[in-house]
Amino acid sequence: MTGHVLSWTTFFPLIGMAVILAMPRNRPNLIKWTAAAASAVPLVLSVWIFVNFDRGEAGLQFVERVPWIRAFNIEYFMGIDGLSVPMVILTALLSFLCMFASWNINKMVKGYFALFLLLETGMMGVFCALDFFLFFVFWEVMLLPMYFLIGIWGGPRREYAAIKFFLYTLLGSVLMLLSMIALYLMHDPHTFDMTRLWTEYGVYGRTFQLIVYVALFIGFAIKVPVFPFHTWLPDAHVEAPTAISVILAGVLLKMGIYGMLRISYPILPVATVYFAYGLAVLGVINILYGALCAMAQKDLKKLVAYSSISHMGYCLLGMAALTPAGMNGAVLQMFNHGTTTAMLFLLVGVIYDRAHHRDIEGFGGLATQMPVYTGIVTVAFFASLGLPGLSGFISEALVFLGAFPVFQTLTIIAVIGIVLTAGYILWTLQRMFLGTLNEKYKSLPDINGRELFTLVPLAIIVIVLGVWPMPVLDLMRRSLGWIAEMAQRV
Amino acid sequence: MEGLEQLGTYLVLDILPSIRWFVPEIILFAGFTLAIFADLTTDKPGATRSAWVALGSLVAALAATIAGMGAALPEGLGGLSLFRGAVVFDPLANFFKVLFLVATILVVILILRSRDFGLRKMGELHALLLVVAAGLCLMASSTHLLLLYLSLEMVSYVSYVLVGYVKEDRRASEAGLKYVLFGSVSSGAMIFGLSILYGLTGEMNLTKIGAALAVSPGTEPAVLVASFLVMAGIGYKIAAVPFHFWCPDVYEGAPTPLTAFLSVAPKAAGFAMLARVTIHLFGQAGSLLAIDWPLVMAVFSALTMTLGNVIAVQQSNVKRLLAYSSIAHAGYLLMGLACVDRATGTLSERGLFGVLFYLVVYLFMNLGAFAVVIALREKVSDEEEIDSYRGIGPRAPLLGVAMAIFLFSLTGLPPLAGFVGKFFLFAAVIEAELYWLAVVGILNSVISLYYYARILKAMYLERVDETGEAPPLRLAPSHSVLLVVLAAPTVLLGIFWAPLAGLVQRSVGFLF
Amino acid sequence: MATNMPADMVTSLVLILLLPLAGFAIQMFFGTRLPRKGDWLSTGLIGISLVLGIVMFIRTLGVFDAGYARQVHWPWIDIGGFRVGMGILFDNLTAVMLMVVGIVSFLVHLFSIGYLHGDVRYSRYFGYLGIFSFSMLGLVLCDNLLALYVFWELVGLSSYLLIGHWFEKKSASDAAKKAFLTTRIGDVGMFIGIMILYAKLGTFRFDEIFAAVADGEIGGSLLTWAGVGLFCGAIGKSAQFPLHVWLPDAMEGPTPVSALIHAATMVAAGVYMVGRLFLLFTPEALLVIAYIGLITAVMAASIAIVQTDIKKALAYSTISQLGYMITALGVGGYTAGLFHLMTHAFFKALLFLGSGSVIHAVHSQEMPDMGGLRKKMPVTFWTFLVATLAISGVPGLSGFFSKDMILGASLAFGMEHSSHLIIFLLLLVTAGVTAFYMFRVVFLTFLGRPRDEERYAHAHESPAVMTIPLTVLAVLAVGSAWGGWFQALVVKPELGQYRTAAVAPAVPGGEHGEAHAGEHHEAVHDETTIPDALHADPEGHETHVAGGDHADHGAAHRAHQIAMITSILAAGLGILLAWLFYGRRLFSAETVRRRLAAVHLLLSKKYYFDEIYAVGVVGTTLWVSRAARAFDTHVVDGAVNGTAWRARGFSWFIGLFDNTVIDGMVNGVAGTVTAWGRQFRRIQTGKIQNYLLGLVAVALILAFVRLVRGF
Repeated sequence: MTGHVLSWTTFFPLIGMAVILAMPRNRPNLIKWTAAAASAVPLVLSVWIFVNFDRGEAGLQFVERVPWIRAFNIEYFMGIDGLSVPMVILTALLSFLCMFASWNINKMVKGYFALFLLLETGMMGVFCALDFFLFFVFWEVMLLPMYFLIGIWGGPRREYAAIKFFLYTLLGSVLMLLSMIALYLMHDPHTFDMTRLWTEYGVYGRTFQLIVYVALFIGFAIKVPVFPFHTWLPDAHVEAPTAISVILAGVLLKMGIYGMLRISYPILPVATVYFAYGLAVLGVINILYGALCAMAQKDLKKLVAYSSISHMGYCLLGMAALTPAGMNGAVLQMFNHGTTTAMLFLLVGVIYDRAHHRDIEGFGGLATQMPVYTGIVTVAFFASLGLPGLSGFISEALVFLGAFPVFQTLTIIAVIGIVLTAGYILWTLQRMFLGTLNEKYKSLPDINGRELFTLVPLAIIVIVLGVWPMPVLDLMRRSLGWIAEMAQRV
Repeated sequence: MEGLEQLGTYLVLDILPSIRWFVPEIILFAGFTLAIFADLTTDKPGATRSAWVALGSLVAALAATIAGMGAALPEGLGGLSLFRGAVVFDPLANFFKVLFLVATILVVILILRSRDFGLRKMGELHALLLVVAAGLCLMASSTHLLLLYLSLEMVSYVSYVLVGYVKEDRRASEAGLKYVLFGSVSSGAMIFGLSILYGLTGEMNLTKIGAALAVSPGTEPAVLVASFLVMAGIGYKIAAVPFHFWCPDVYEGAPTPLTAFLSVAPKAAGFAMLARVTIHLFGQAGSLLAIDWPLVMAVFSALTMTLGNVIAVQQSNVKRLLAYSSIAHAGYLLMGLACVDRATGTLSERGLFGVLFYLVVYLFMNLGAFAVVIALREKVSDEEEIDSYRGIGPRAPLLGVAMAIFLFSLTGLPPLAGFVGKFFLFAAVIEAELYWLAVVGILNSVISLYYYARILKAMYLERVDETGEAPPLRLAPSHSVLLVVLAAPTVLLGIFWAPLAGLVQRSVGFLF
Repeated sequence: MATNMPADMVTSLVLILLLPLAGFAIQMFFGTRLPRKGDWLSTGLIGISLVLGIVMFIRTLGVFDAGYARQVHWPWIDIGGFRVGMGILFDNLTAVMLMVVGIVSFLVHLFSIGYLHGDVRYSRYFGYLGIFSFSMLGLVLCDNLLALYVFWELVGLSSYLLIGHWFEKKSASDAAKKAFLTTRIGDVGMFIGIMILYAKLGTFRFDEIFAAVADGEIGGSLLTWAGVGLFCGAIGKSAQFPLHVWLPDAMEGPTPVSALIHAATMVAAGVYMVGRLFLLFTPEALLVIAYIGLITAVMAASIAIVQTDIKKALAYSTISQLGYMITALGVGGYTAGLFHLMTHAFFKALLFLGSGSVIHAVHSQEMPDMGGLRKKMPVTFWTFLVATLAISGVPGLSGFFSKDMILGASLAFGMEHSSHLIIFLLLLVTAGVTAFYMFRVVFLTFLGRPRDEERYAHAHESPAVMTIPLTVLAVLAVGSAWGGWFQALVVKPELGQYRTAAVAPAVPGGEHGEAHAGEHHEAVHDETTIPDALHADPEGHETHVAGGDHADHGAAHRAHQIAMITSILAAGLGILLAWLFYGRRLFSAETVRRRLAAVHLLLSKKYYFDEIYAVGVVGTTLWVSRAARAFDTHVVDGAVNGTAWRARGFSWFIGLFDNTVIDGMVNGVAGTVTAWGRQFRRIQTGKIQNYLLGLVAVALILAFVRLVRGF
C-alpha cells in the first residue's frame, strides 16, 4: 500500500463509492458508516504521509508514474511536495469530519454519500496530480458531484446556486483547458508533465506567457474566488448543505491558489513577476471588499462566505510578494483558513439545525443557553479575526511581513482589513450570543456529541498551530522556497 | 465482340478484384433483400424477424469491415482505388464504415425498444436501414463525383421515407415532407456544383479534379460558386448553419430512434464527405484560389455552434433541444476541418484526427441521450417536454445516471469521452492558431452546459413529489443493458482512449 | 537556544508565565465542577506565580545592577529566510513589572472572591482573570516585537472577555466590542511599525533592533515612522487621545477587572512598551509621544471633574495619569514615566478596589447616591484616602515621588526648549486638577451627609477578603517609592551600549541614539552633525536631548526643585479647592456649573468624542459596508446575472429570428408563389418553401459576397 500511497489515498473513496452504490437504499446507517470508513482510510494514509514525508526535501515525493496515453505523452503521474501535503491532509481531514456533519442527511442518502466520496477523489487527485492533463481531469471531476450536492441537498434557491456555481467554474476551467493545450503544444516535445514544463519553461515567449497566465488566472481566480469573479460563492455557500459548504470553503477555494502556485508560478515566471503587483492589488481588494461586504450581511452563512473571500485575499497578497514569509504565509493561510472556515460553517450548520434560520439579528443571548457552542464559536471567530495564539494570526502575520518589503503601501492598506474583520466578527458575536436571550430559544439544546466530534479536532488544530505552526511550515517551507525561486527566474 | 471483350477485361481486371474489398456493402445489400423476404413471410405486427436479419447482416458487415482493415494497403493519398476510381478503399473509409455500422446496429436495437412506431409493421424499416447503411458506407468511400452524389441521394431518399415512416403521426409526416423538399433542393444545388467542377476539368475523380484545378488559372469564380454549392449540399447533411433549418423540425417530428440515427450517422457521413472534398479539392485548389478556406470553415463552425447552442437554451422540448445541440456539435466538428497545417497549407492531421475521434464519442453519447428519451417516452409521457422529466432521476437511478453521463459528456466534462473529443478539437484549433475560434468554442461549451443541466435539473433537482417517495420506474432489462452499453464507452473512452486514438490515428495517418 | 540565563531562572519564569494559563484551562473545562467553583485554584496559582516573581525580584535587587539583563531565546518559526524566535528577557524593568502585575493580579483575585460571590459565571470569571494574567506576564517577559504583539493582542482578548463578563447587558457587550476594536485600530499602527522594522532590519528581537539602530542601519524618517507606528499601539491600549474613548466604557466590567486591567496593568502596557522600546524612538517620534500624552492628560483630567459615576471619574483619572506617563517618556523622562507606572498601578488599583468595595456596599456607582460612607466603611475610606493622597502628589507618598519626577523632567525639557515649556505648565495644572477631582470623589463619597439614606442604611464594610487587598495596596501606595531603589534599578538605557563593536557609527554624533544618551549632547548642537531628517524641522527639535535623568545635572537639579515646589503647591491648591467646594461647601459647584453651562456640557459630553466617532467612523464604515454589499449584489452579481439574462434574451431572440423572422421575411416572397404552393395545401405549413428559398439564397449570397468582396 505504501508504494502507491497517493493512489490509495485518492481512489479509496471511489472504492467506497462503488460499495455504497451496491448497497440497498433502505439501509441509511450502513451507508453512512461505510462512507465514514471510506473517508477514514485516506485520513489514515494522509497521517502516514505526514509522518513519512521528508521535510528536508524540496522536490516531489511518493511519486507514481505510469504512462497513460502513450501517444500523447499523457501520464498517470502523481506526487506530492510541501505545497501539496498540507492540502492533502486538509482534504482528508475535512472529508472525514464532513461525513459526520452529514449524518442528518436523510434524503437520498445513497446518492449523497456516493457523490461525496467521488468529490473526495476529485479533490485529492487535484492535489496529487503532476500531469497537467490528469490534474485537469480531477479538477473537473469535482464539478459534477458538487453540482448535484448543492442542487439536490441544498437550500431553497439551490437550483440557481448550483447552476451558477457550475457555469462559473466551468467557464474558468475551459479557459484553463485552452491554456493547458497551448502549453502542451508549444512545448517540444509535447508534454503534460508539469515537472518538465517547470524546468523547460524557456520555450515559452513573453507574450505567450502573459496571455496564458491571464487565461489560467481567470480559471483559478474563479475558484479562489478573486474579486470580481466571486459572486458564485455567497450563493453556493448559502444554499449548500453544511458539509458541502465546509468542503467548498475548506478545500475547493484552496485549489485556485494551489493551481497558481503549482502551475502558473513555475511555468510562467515572466508573467508571474509581471503580474505580481496586480495580484497583490487584487488580494488587497479581496481583503477589504470581502470584509466590508461581510459586515453588511444579515445571513450568518453569507457573512462567513464573504469572510472567506476576505481571507483568501491574504493568500493572494502573500504569494504575490514571492518572499519566503509571504509564500509560506499564503499557503499556511490556505491551511488555516481551511480549518477555521470549516469550523465556522459547521457551527452555522449546528445553529441552523436547531433554529431553522440563520438571521444574525434573529438570535441574541445564546451564550447563556448554549455555552459550549458559544465557546467553540468564540474560538473559531477569534481564529478568523487573526487573534494571536490561534492559527489565523500566524499566517496573516507572515503574509503581511512577507508582503510589506515588496508592496509597502498595499500592505499598509491591507492591514486595515484586520480592524474590519474584527469589526464584523465581534459585531456578529455580540448580536448572536451576547445580550439577553431571545425567549424563542429558551429550550435550544446545546451542541451534541456528534457535532462536537466534528468540531473539536479542528479546534485543537487551530489552537496548536496558533502556538506552534512549525509542523505545517516545516512540511512546506523548502518546496515553497523552491517554487518562489522558480517563479523568479526571469 | 470487342465491347464484350472489354467488358470481360473490365470484369476480370477491375470488378472482380474490387469486389474483394466491397464485401461489407454487398452483405448489406444482401441483408436488405433477405429482410424484405423475412418480412414478407410473416404477418405479425412489429415483427422482429426482419430486425434480427438486419442485425445479423449489420454485424456481418461490421465483421467484414474490421477484417478488411487488417489488410495491407498501398501507401499514398489515393488508398486502394476500386471500380475504376469510383470508390476508394482506405483506412478513412473503413473507419467511417465501422462507425456507421455500429450506429446502425445500435439504432436497430433502439427501434426494437421504441414505442414510437406503435404497432406498425417494421419489416420495411429494418430493410431500409440496411440500405441507408450501405449508402453511408459509400458516402464515406466515394471519390467520384457521380458516386458522391448518388450515395448522398441514396441516404437521403431512404431517410425521407424513414422520417415519415409513421404515417399516422402528423408530426412525422410533416417532418418527412420537409426533409424531402429541403433535401432535394440542396442536392440539386450540389449536383449543379459538381457539374460545374466536371465542366471545368473534365474529370470525375476528386483527386484528379484537384490536380487539374491547380493548373488551370482563370477558373476562380466558377470554382468558387461550385465550392459553395457543394458545401450547401454537404452542409445540409451535417446541418451546419445556415443549412440547418430543416433540422429541428425533422428531429422533433421523426420517430425518436430515427432522430437519434439521423443526428449521428448521416452527419458523420457528411463529415466524411466534407473531409474528402476538403482534402482533395480545397487543400490544393484553395491555395490556388487564395481563398482563406480555413477561415470560411471557421466562420461556419463558429456560427453553427453558437446558433445551435444559443437556440437550444430556449427549448423546452427535449428532442428539439437535442436537435439544436446536434447542430452545435456539427459546429464543434467543423472546427477540426477549419484547422490547417501552416507548413503544408493542407488540412491539419490533428484537425481530422479530432473530427474522427469526436464522431466516435459523439455516436455513443448522443445515441445514449436519445436512448434515454426513448426510454422515458415509454415510461413517462409522449410529450418529451423537459418538465415531464421532473424527479425522474431518483426514481430511475440507472437511467438518471446514464443521462447525466451522456449530457456531461456532451458538455465536454472529464473524465468522460466528450471531454477527450473536445480536447483534441481544441488542440487542433490552437495548433492552427485559430485562437478566436477556440474562445468561441469554449464559451459555447459553457452555454451548452446550461441547457444540458436544465434537463438534469428537472431530473434531479426539481422534485414534483416532495412529500413521499414516488414509485421507482422500472426499465426493461434490455433497455438497461442498452444504456449501459452506451454509457460504458462514454466513460471508458474518457479514461482510457489510447486504443481508439490509435485506430483514429491509423485511419487518418495515411493521408498525411 | 541562545541564553545567558541560568536554567533555574528559566524554569521559574516559565512557571510564572504558565501557571495562570493552567488556571485558565482548568477553569474553562472543569471550573464549575470544582469545589467553590475553583476560585481558590486560580488565586492559588497566581499566588505561586507572585511568590516566584518576588523571588526573582529579590534576586535582581540582590544584584543591584542597572544594566542587569538575562535573556533566553528559542527558535519558534523558521522557514528559511524568515526566522522568528520566542524568548524571555529578564532585566530590572521586567522584574518590577512582574512584581506589579503579580501583586495587583493576586490581590484582585482575592478581592474578586468577595466581590463576585455568587456570580453566575464565577468560575469563568476566574478563568478569564487567569488568561489575562498569563498574557500580561507574557507581555512583560517577552524579548521580541512579534511576541510583544502576540501578548498585546491577548491582553486585548482577555480585556474583551472580562468587560463583557455581564454580557446580558447591552452596554457591557457594547463596551467590550468597543474596547477591542478601538485598541485594534491602534494595533494596526503598531503592526505597521513592526513591519517597517522587520522589513528593514530582519529581526524582531529588542536587543538586535537596538544594535541595528545603534549601528545606523535604520534611521531618519523611516525610524520615526516606525516609532510613531509602534506608539499607535500604545495610543490604543493605553487609552491615549484620540483612542481613549473605550476606557470609560470599559467600566462596564466588574470593578476588580477595572482595577486590574483598566487601571493598573493592561492600560499601562502602552507605557511599558514605549519604555521598553525607548531607544528606537527618534526625537521627532518622542515629541509626538509627548504631545499626545499631554493632550490626553489635560483632556481626561478636565472631563474627570464633572463625572458623577465614581468609576467613570476614576477611569478618566486613569487616562489622565497614563497621559502623564506617556508625556514623561516623550520628554525623555524614562525613569519618571515608568516609575509613575508602578506607583500608579498600586494606588489606582487601590482606588478602583476601594470604589468596588463602595459599590458592593451601596449597589450604585453614582456618587449622588453616596456620601458619609466613612463611618460605615472605615477600612475602605482610609485606604481610599491614602490612595487619593498618593495620586494627588502629597509629599511622602509614592505618587509624590513619581509625579514630581515627571514634572521635573518636563520642566527640564522645557528649560532646554522653551517652546515646549507648555508641557510642564499644563502638566502642573493637571496635577492640581487631579488633586481637585480626586478629593471631590472622596468628599462626595465618604464625607458629608448620606444623600441616599436607604442605601446608606444597608451599606456595610466589605469582608476581609476584600479589605485585606485594600490594606496591602495602601501600604504599597504609601511606601513603594521609598528608598530610591526604583531610580537606581530602572535607568534610562543608552544606545551606545548596544553598538556592535565591529561597526563604527555611520555619522559620528549624528545618531539620534547618541542624542538619547544625552552624553554627547554637545555634538548635537553642532549643526553639521545633525541628521538630515532633523534639518527639515523648523522647530529645531534636534536639541530635544537634554530632557531626562542624565541631563545636565545643575539644570536638572534646579528643575526638580522648582517642579517639586510647584507641584506641592498645585496639589495643595487642588485639595483646598475641593475642600472648599465639597467639604466646607463654601462655594457651590452648582452655581459654577450654571455659570459655565457650555463648558460643563462640553466636559460632561466628553468633548463629543463618542458622538463624532459614532457618526464619523462607525457610521461611515457601516455605510461603506452597506454600499459594498449593494455594489456586490447589484453591480458585480448583477453583471453576472445580467450577462446570463442577456444571453438568454439573445438566445430567445435568435430562436425567434430563426423560426419566424427568416420565415416571415421570405413569406413576402412566398406570397408570390402562393398559387404554386396551393397544391401542397393539405400539408401546408407555410414554412417549407421559405426554408428552401432561404437555403438557396444563402448559398448564392455567400458566393456573391465572395465574388464582390473576397474573404
